[in-house]
Amino acid sequence: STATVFVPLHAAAQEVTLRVVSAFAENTTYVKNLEGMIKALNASGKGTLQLNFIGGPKAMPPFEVGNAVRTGVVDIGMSTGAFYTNIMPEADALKLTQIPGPELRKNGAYDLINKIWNEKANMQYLGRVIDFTPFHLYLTKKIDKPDLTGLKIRITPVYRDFFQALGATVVQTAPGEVYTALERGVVDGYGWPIQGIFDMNWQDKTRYRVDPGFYSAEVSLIMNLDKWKALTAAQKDVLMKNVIALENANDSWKKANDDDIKRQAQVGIQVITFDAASAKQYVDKAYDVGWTNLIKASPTYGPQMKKLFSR
Amino acid sequence: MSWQAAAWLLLGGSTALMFLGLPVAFAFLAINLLGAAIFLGGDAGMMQLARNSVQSVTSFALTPIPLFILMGEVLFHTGLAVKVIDGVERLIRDVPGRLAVIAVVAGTVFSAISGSTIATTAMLGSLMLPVMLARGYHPTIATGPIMAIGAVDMLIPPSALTVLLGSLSGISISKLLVGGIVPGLILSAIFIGYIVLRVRLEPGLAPKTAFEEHHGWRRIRPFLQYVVPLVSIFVVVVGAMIAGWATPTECAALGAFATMLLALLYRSLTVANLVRALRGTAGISGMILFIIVGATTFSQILSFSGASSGLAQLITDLGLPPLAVIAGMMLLLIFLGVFVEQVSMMMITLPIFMPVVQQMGVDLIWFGVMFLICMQLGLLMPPHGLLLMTMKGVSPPQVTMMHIFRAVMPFLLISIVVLALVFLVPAVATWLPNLVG
Amino acid sequence: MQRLAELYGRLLAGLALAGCAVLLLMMLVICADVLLRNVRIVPGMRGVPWANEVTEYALYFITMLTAPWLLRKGMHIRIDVLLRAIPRWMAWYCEWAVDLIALMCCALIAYYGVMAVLSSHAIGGMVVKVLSVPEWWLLAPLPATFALLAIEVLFRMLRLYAAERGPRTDAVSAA
Ligand code: NA
Ligand code: NA
Repeated sequence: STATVFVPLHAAAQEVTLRVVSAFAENTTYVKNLEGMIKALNASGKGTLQLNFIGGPKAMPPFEVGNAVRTGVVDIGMSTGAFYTNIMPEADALKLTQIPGPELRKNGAYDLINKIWNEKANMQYLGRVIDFTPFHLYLTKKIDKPDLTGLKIRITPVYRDFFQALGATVVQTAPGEVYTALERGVVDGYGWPIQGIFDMNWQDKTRYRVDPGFYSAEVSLIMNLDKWKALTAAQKDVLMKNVIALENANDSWKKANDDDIKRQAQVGIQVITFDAASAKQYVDKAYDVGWTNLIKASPTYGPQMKKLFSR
Repeated sequence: MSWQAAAWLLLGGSTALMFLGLPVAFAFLAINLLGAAIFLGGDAGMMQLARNSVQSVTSFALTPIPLFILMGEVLFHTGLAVKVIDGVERLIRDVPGRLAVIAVVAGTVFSAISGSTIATTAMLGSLMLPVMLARGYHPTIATGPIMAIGAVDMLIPPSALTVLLGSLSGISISKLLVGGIVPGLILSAIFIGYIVLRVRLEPGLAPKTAFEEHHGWRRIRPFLQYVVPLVSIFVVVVGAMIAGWATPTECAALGAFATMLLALLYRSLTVANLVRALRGTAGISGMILFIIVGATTFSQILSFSGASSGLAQLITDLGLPPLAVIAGMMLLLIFLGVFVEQVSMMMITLPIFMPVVQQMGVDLIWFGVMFLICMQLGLLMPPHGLLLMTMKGVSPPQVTMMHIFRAVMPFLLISIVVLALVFLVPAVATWLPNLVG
Repeated sequence: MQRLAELYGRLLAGLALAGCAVLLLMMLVICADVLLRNVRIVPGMRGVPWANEVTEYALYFITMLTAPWLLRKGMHIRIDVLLRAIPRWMAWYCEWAVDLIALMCCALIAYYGVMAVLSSHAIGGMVVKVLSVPEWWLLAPLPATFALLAIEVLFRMLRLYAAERGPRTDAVSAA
């Protein structure tokens, strides 16, 4: 019968529980959204599929979430590509997408991602949980052209190469030390998504935001490939329905970002803009640096990803 | 496995192994292997355990630990400590228990240069104890103040244990460091008051002895020459932070470097004593860091198994007022301090305490400073508080363990009073960090 | 055997000395980074961009290089209340139990550490920050240290066998 095609005998009518960890702390918006999705999934997936949220960085170090998914220590991880570049350099390319998730799903980009993720990381890429959210450069000193020579900028691996290419002196600090570092002038600025500086209280010590933004903040759900393959069609269906619903809800980030832009203006953060040519040069440089490094690290897949990820 | 069973297995198992005499680090590692097999699962889980162990100490936030300890060790091994004591001694005139008072003042100065309670206690013990005993001081009045002020070293920055508490609990390290200053100074002031009072009541404890009285320039010269420059390391380090030169974490390296530079300028630094200082530092910090390898992963497995959140939920569900919960935590810490040393104390309790504390919304600096005072109590707690052992190690044979136990008692009580003070008047802990920002 | 134990002790002390050198270098690298970031003394040198990651690795190396030497010196702290409370011969047997657990523990971590190294090597994992380092280079010191620890536990057992029947006098506190 048709049923046996989709449902292996041993798994028939069996409920599977998958273990989920997050590379981000429990109080972040990402985790709250994820918990909402898990709740919905567990309600609709009774008897088929259940998700068990184990926890955040307290249970698994953020930079180990990728490896834990790869080796099947956990089944599903919520992480950003920058946290598992130790497994494959291609993970870093997800920040370079210029097209929303649902479109990438259609234009073949997700198929390419899954080809690479399957082959190199033993992972199935499920979907993206943050979108439409560019990174920005925030400063305590005014600049009038895209040149950071003489400025000390706090970086994360996501935009280190870009800021260095603009001439910045880069500084690494723990997230908890950024506030003091800004206050005392240890750093003159930092990179962060358009949204979220209020969560860290950095608005007090931030005077300027540089527009336009660049790259796209990326957090995604990844799954162990063996566990994915062992799911029945019905189980995959429940999982993907909920993941895609979460991905489609990413439009809500637009509103969150607009709210934060307004709040930033209210607390007196001024916007630095460049003339059209310089602005284009600034953004182009960001992507040039990003793709050049990626293609150097992944000559095979880099160019293919660039083609499908870019407008 | 239910979270209750997991909690019994992990917490109970590691405690049992520790009391069997397995070194603390290995007790955590052994239970980690068991926990990884059960909760992380199979070979992949065991390999993940190895990877997480590497991650646990590959952490910039922990770098001040060896660097702060190094500051104390350099001071100790280069002989600069003697000069500091000399500088303090000439300033202090005839008070009851003069030498004990000098020990407390010199210890307070050391505290601002040394990030290691062991180094401070060993310095004062080896330099001042023989002098006090020779002048007829009773062993209790000779050893008590040295151990007590050695423990205060932990409250006054720099402090390796404060850095560790901040990094494990997520409480701001720089604010915790600043938060320890006021309670630390209050403690040294009360210690001095106690010594003076006690000796006035019981003059036989510390016979009045003749001392060479210096006047004018001769009196203040060693103070200006040695104490002021050494203490200004502290100022330089904090200054570098305020001037925006360095992050709080980086300041520890500047401090250690400045201490070496000063020792070099005083011509007290030699290759031999530098190696001794480095070896002493590597020993103490290697020991702490190796426990962290085991304990960080332990707390991850505890969290992974659901035991951490289960226990935290259990405490929250009791519905007790926050003050009662905090008081309960402090009592538990004091109780633990009788058996367990400071690093393990943090490692065992923080994964369970912090979620509860955060959920109750109490001031984290206040909580952290009280946690520090509880650990400071643990340093002094018989039968095997760390500083009691250190003291015994540098004492001549006529000082017995009983002397040391009796000597520390009044200072333990004073510390408990100050803990109660901070509990009732949180501003004692939070005023300065909030002021500095 | 005595001679072998002595030589091994010298090896462990040598590793610890290397740990001291790493500690000194770590301090100097951080200071150089702060200095170069704030003062332009070397043209074109704006801080030491790799200072932060090298410092992190240094801390890990210090831990790994000193751990076996600390075991030789009996400086890994432990709680000995119970060992002191029970009869001396009984404590001696406890020490055997402790050593067996420690031996098993070190051997297992060394084994799974090697597995983790091989697994990372097989996929060509790289840690890419300012510096690019093969991940297995960073994982390898862990199993090496635990192998050294396992061997030292064996020497400890030999010393225990030769010793008077009672508990050891290892460190019971520190920090
Ligand atoms: Na780390
Ligand atoms: Na101190």
